[in-house]
Amino acid sequence: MFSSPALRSLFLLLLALALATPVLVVAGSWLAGASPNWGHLSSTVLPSYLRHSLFLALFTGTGTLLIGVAAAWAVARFRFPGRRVLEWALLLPLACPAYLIAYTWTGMLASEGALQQALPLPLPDIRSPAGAGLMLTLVLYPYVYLMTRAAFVSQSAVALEVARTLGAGPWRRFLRVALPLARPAIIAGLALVLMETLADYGTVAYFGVPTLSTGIYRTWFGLGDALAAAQLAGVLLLAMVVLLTLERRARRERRISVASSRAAAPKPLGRGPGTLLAAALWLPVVLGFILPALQLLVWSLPRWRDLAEPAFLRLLGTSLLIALCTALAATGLGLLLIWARRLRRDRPRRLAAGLAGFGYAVPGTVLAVGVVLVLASLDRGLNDLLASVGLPQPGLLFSGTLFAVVFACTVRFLTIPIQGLDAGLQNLSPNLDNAARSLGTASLPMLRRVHLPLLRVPLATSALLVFVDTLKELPAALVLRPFNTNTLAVRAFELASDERLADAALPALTILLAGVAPVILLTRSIRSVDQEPPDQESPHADH
Amino acid sequence: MLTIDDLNVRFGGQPVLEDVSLTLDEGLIGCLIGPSGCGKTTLLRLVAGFLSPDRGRIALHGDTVAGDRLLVPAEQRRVGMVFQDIALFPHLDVAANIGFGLDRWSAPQRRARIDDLLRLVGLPGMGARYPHQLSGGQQQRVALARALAPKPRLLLLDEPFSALDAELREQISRDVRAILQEEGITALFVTHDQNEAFAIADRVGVMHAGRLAQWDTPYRIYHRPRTRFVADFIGRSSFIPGTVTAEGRVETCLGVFAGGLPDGAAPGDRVDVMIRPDDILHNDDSPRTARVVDRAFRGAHMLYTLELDGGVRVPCMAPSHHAHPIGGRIGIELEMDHLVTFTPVGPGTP
Repeated sequence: MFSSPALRSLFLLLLALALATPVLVVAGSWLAGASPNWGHLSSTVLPSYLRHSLFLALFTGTGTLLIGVAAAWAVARFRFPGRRVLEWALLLPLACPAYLIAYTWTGMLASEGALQQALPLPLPDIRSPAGAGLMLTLVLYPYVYLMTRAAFVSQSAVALEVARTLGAGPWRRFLRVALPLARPAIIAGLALVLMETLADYGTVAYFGVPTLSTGIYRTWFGLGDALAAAQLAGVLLLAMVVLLTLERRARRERRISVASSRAAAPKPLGRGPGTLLAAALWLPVVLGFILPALQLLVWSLPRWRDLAEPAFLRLLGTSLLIALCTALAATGLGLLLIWARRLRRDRPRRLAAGLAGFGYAVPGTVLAVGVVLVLASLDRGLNDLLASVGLPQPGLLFSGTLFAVVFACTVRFLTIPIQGLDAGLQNLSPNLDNAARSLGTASLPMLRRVHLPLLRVPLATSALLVFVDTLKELPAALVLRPFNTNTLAVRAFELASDERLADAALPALTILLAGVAPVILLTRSIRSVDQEPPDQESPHADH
Repeated sequence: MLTIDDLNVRFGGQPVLEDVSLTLDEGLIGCLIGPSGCGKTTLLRLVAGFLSPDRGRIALHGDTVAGDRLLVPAEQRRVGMVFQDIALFPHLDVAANIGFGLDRWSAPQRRARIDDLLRLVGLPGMGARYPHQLSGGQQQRVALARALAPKPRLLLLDEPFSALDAELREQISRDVRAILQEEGITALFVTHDQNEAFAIADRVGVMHAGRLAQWDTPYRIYHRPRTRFVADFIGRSSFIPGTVTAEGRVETCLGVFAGGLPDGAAPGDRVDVMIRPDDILHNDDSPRTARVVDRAFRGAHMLYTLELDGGVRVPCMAPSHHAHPIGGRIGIELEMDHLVTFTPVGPGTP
């Protein structure tokens, strides 16, 4: 069927286009002309959506920047008690979806909660825009920390030493040398933070903060206007494209500026300042992970018998099934697209890989809108077709089953295997392929005998990351799940929204524990980067 | 055995190979040499089947593998290749690497072939090692064994020794020649090191700007270069101006010589005469002298740069105990058993 390579390229491009249809439908919704409700929206709620989204972006951006860069600098440049543990502990909040700590903190700060009882002063209301910003800051700062720390660690000691010989003090060295050198990494981390902030649905919905993301949901299910919802989603998508461009440019710049010569040795701090610094660095970890995790544990313990309840097992089963299918689908598709591009780097295959890697910029709510629009019309078409030839109609085969959730999550998280496998394949010399060919091996046997064995680690890592991200995914599952079917994330969110905080704890804790797995992976990758041998022998070290 | 006819390749509109033709007979070792970017590796990749030509034909044993609207995929050409970056499969041990292309052989046959090859490349009993446990030279031997294992019709080697240090390089290139001859393999390899080319090859091709300037025996490449580029690129040479005499000989400041003239040279025409360092002999009794402008100690030899009376500079190799100061004059005589001349390319030619 696909006898010629050019035909196969075309097939791959069509596949990537099919995966991108939900996004393209959302982006194309403006072509239909503004929805009749648009005037109403823009005179009433739209300014408030925009204002709150902008506020959250500014708040979270500033907050993550301060915590992330300061923590990265401290860990990369100073030696103090507990530094090795903090290095990875600072990543822990990444395991926690923002909506989980949002409701945990609400419970902890409630007037009947332990904290309020112990304090004589009334605590500020966490369920406010600033509170939402704080929650997002606490779980998102690790993105900035992770990227910036890598940049600081790889900065050569020479640049800082040169600044020193030119008479620059420690502050000047940080502001004039280290910070500008790390700028691309910081921007890349910040872009990821802002994308996650604008995409967040759970936290702002729970706190009742109207943003673009919740606005899409409300316009659709409150107002019943799919077109307006899609167009609102289009506005959010535009912001994402800007951020994505920023991130990709920063990434390219970063590749150039990383100089791998001798790294600066961390400077030992005295006992007093060292302990103080360690305490300050533990603060975000405690607030963003340890306290919420403990609270969830306290809530869960009296209910540990629920673990064996059929209701919980069903919930767990559904979640695991969705996550497993998505992990397999995304990893398989990612491998197909990236591997095909390695065999033949023509324009359609490059375009296909690029198109399919766009999903992570698309917020879950936006994606859900697109997926419903696409799959519903697919179902309608299929039913009409079967009815016209007199066959029984299958009903909502695509939009009314778990397929919709798996499809949406696959599109959203396909980026992970695409980037992971791309990096993995780039590490393999093209001459390995040439050697296999010249020894009489065709493409498919080469995949089995050379590429798959050598890609085992990135394949497993990608699959695990997709698995956990799917487990955590809230808005897409909320919109797309079939009736009477629930996932852990949706159930936790529903229970929390009904103020049954303690009942939500068990599914929440399950998600949190699953979220720790990628953090462990990240930790190991940090270590392996650091352990690359410093090539002091090389002539470059003398320059 | 290998026939290449009129091969042309363009990358993005830029010609990379133009009108390349050559033949390599069964059992001979050919070598392509030239500055980087001359297209020598491209030519090798075309023969391997990793690239397809825009025009021209490649044939092995008379079977066309590329050209005439036909393109045999690399995996079906039975052309082995040894790569510059060695490219051993890192997840397989040495035996599995060597046996990679023998997947259609029976297990006992495969084992026997692997053992034979391990002995041939001087690594008996090393089959269970992994590539990262081997030295650079050992890896190169495994790569050679791997390429030889399925008994290819032709073996290609892309700068196979460039990753090795100089000492190892000489030894391995000698070993490789012995192994190839023992296996009776026809081979084509690429290098930028002319000593390596002369040490291994039966035929040498000098490439320049996408063209094959000359395809000949090493002796003729050195002594009978067909173009000025070949003369310049191979060995050290310089040129002194001469004039064609009525008798068809060439008169220069160092004497009158007979020999090959450029096509269509007529009496009175100016020509450039190629001088190799070993063409100029140092002789204190000679009436002809030249001024020493530079000298470089080369161990057994001293390489002088001499300025002739006309201002032309020529190299001269002398035994190193003949030490003459810079600025002094020494007696020289020209001993050329054959004359190589070129049409001058313009004023100010060295």
